[in-house]
Amino acid sequence: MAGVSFNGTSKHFDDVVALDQLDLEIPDGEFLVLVGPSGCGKSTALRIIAGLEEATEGTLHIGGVDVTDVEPQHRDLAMVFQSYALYPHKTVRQNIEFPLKSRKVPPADRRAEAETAATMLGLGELMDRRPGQLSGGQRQRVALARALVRRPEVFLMDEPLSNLDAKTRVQTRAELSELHATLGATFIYVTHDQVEAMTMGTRIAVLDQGRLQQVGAPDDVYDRPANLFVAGFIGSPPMNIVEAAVERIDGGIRLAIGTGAFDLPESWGAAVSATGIERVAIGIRPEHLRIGDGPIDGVVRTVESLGHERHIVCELAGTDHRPGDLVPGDLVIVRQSADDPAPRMGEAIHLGAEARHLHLFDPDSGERIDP
Amino acid sequence: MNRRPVNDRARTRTRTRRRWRERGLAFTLLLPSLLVFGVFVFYPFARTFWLGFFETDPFGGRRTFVGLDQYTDTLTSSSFRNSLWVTLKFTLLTVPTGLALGLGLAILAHQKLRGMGFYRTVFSSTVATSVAVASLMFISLLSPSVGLINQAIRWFGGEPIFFLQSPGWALVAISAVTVWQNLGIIFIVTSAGLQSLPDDLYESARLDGASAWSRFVDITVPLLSPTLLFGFVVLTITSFQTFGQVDLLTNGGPLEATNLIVFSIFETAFRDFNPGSAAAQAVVLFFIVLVLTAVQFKILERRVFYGR
Ligand SMILES: Nc1ncnc2c1ncn2[C@@H]1O[C@H](COP(=O)(O)OP(=O)(O)O)[C@@H](O)[C@H]1O
Ligand SMILES: [Mg+2]
Repeated sequence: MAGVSFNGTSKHFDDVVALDQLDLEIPDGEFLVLVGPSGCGKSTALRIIAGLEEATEGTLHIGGVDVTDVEPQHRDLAMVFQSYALYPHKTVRQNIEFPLKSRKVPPADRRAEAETAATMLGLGELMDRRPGQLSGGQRQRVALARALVRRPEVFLMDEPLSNLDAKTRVQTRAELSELHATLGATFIYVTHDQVEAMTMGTRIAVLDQGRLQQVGAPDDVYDRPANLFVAGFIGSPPMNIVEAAVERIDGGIRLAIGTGAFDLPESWGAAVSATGIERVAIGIRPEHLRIGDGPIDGVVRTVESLGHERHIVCELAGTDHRPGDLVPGDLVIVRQSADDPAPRMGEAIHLGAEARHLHLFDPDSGERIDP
Repeated sequence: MNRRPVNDRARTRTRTRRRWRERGLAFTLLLPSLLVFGVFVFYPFARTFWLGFFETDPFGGRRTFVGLDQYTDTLTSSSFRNSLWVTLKFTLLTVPTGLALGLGLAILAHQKLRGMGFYRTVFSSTVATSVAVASLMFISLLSPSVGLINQAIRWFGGEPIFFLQSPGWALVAISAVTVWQNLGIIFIVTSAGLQSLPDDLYESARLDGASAWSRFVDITVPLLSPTLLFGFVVLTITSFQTFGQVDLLTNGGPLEATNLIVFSIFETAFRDFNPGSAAAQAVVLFFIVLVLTAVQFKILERRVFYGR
């Protein structure tokens, strides 16, 4: 059984800090998704687990054993590369058998194991083709089959779905989750796509600029983002972030946004006061903003219909701190069911949200403020 | 409804006319290079072929038609057979070693180590070296009295070897110069081939548990096979055309031990003053190389992986 843990692991490429003091425990059997924007160090972290990259500082444990200096072939893991890295001159069968051949498994067993793996992934018909004769989705399956034929304890996957079309991607997402349930192995999955992270991970770890921002179950990360970065990164359309001036009022605080304001109870007041800041960043998810009655005034700028729902972009009244711009004020996105009456473009509206759906952040440090 | 066929016929006519116009243009564009090739390649070649049917005076004049006699004489003469045999040995000595050494150096230089750029330049430099320079270098290297190799042999207490004067060693010495000279081009070509192989295949192979040897045999060699085939064919052709080293180092001797075909043709034409027989030998050489190359492509192409 093999969990994986990073202990103060860093990776520097000359001046670039690709991974900065990562501390992360991945228990055995977990489906952990490493998610973050391009260049944040996800692949580097994965390659350190694989042993393809040496950590500059810190250690890496697999199954409780320090493997920092162990060669890749002696760590019991398999990896699916973004490019799939299939051997182009070998047939599908030879590709799948290769890890077994390298480990001196006798030919008969090799063939049987490869058949099993191929059947699991529906590759039975394709065994004698070359990778060049396969579609993207089929290649991806061959890469998976080659990874699981050896039944390793840990699976590493680096953006394995990014080269697939949208439909295949959704389908494969579900299949990977199923595969994880069947094999019971540890899956460590890298993606820049927060939808993949949300839908597949037992837990997700959000990285930015080589630093771990937050780890947790997808719903926890979505409901309680630890900082402005996570708030903006997880969720689509992204969380609305608006800055507001903090005023003390009787029995609480008032957060003034343009011509309107949110009034929050004293529990919040204490928390905000404790940080000593005069402005806060308010985060509100698009689905938590309501059009109708509410304390904030705005004007509808655009209405985008997706069929089942609508995204309405509103400009907040009184926030025109950039005079002369085409759209001078702060914009927020409201997500509305297709059943609700659609507002017209240019219509003046009121916006509201429940206090429990507001997220407050320190605008300078980006850290979350909780009541 | 009735008019359709008429229309079709008219269209076919315009198409045919356009095709002929395009052919005319193509020919016009090809004409300059056809002229150059004609004057410098096709004509001399045909002329050589034709000359093989005549006995001539030393300047190619006063011809007597002898039909295929000269060809049969050439093919059966012991001197020509010796040349063929020597050339074959020479090819076997130079081609595999040249390929293996060039590939080996390319793999060494492919390691991501500091200062590799310098070694790359050094390894490629033999491309920029002429046969004359290479031969001079080896003359001093192999010299019985002052040569580095014989000094080393003496230092270990051995007898100096007369590399260029001994029938047993002369061909080996010529081969050494040739391998050295070919190293640069093979190094460059295989280096370029290696650069084009994706890193992630090797990373994947390491994770799959493949040893360094298996990564070489299972990945590098098959993926590099088009490059290696190219090198193999080019080296074979070059070895059948070798002349300079022999002329400068051994003059075909001792005892004809290094009398490669092209040198033999040269001797026949310009020392024995027999252009007719030389032409016949040249034509025979041409067909040997042609057949050899065709066979190499046929046999090896089945084992070469060209992607897809
Ligand atoms: N081999 C390398 N040499 C130099 N810099 C690198 C190398 N690999 C990655 N980096 C840098 O490290 C950072 C993280 O890269 P990576 O882990 O590939 O990001 P991600 O996979 O999240 O897109 C980037 O700034 C990238 O430019
Ligand atoms: Mg990456």
